[in-house]
Amino acid sequence: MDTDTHPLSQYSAAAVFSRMFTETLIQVKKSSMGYRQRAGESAGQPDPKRKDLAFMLESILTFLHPGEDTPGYNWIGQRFLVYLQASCSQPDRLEDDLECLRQKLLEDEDLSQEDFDLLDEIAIAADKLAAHTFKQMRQD
Amino acid sequence: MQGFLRSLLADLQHQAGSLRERVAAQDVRARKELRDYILFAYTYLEDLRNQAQDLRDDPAFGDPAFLSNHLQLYRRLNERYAVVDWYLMPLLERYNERDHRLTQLCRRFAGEANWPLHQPILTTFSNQYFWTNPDLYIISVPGGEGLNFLTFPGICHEMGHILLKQFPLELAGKALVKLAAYRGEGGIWCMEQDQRAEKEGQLRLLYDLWKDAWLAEFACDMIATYLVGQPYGWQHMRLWANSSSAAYHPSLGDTSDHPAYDARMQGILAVLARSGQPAPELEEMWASHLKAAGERVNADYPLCYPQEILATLADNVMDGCARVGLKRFDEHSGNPDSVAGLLETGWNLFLEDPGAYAAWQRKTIRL
Repeated sequence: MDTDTHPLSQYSAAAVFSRMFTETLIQVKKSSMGYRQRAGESAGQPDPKRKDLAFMLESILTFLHPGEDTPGYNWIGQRFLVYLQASCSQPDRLEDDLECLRQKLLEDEDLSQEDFDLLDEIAIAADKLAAHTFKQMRQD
Repeated sequence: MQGFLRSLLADLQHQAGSLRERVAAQDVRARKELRDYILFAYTYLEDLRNQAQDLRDDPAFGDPAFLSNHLQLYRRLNERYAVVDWYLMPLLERYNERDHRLTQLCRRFAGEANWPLHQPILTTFSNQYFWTNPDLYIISVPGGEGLNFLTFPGICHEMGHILLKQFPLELAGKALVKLAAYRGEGGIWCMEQDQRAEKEGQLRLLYDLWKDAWLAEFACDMIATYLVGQPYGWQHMRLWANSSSAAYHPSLGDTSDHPAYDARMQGILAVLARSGQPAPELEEMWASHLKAAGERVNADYPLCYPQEILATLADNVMDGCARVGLKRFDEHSGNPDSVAGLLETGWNLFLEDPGAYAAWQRKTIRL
């Protein structure tokens, strides 16, 4: 069943989600690739942005697999999942891969190239969603 | 490619700077209603320039591993620029006395209807009929049609888009659930096993159109009817008469960002009936004109516009409008000097003595 009961998605929400996810992903990538730490952070310290990313993955997982207590609508929107499944290289394994990645982020395990590919696919889906809702800003 | 992106960012900063100078040249004392827009545009552009600079200064900028991510951030910045360029600059640089008068009329109406949000601002330079940007509270109408008081109910439809953006669940939440059930397992638009299986693609398209556009359009019609009553129905009929679109289009398999004129009229009539003010004259006039125009319903049409969804939405909209504090048309149209009262008088005059209407509008409404 199509569970999208919140189609009146707003550009601002989609744009903020896209920007937040991408900015957080950039920080995690930089940390993983050995880019200089920001002021106040020392090398070897767990990157707090990993927790942020894990939280965003949890939101996506909740929407993919809603429980009885989950509200029937979600700010992420069904269209985001359509974009994600379209851009994802292994849509059948999406849920498992997201959960595995979330655990790795929380437990500060090293991320593989496949993990970063999946994070990039999410960022691309969020980008498409923001671009779509931007075009819908004007209503007739 | 990162070199290209660097150039794009530099250009964006330059363009944003140019717009910012034009915004700064605006006289904040000239129009009270523009002040917030001037300040918003200025800070929005300044913020955009700073974010673009931060992106260019990122030590990872230029690393191919980040190209896709940096391109995404650039797109968000460019959208921000477009918001100012497409919507705010035309408003700030072209706003004139006519726009001011129409805005004042709309705000007078908003006050009478107990409008619960920031007051909209109106422009009269649209070349694409009536539209609104609900995020910015801007409504745009053509310079001639928009100043015809008979079309004011159309402005109420645009106000509906603003309201719906702020209160989607209050106004349409129950109807959305009903809509999802139509497409869900065992629903009328989900026929995987029977003879209509070949229509699966068309039913999916139908559901997407409802979800992404039609439900909002129906809701805005209903909000406008809640606000002004029958004049919205008459204006809708006028719109159909002026357009070249068939009253029963779109049907199954057709694509359109608005639902069929007839289905919209049924939604309008549903709200009038629920308000205790059915409109038999409007209903009869509508039916006779469709017949005279040779409009025909195809077999799939009823499947596209289920009465059950329209009825749920009508209840939902009326309940939602009351919950957000809006006054229904019959709570303020009794005052003949209210905008809703003037609309009722104006439309009645137009229908009974069209020759006298123009003089009445000139005398009564200064637009």
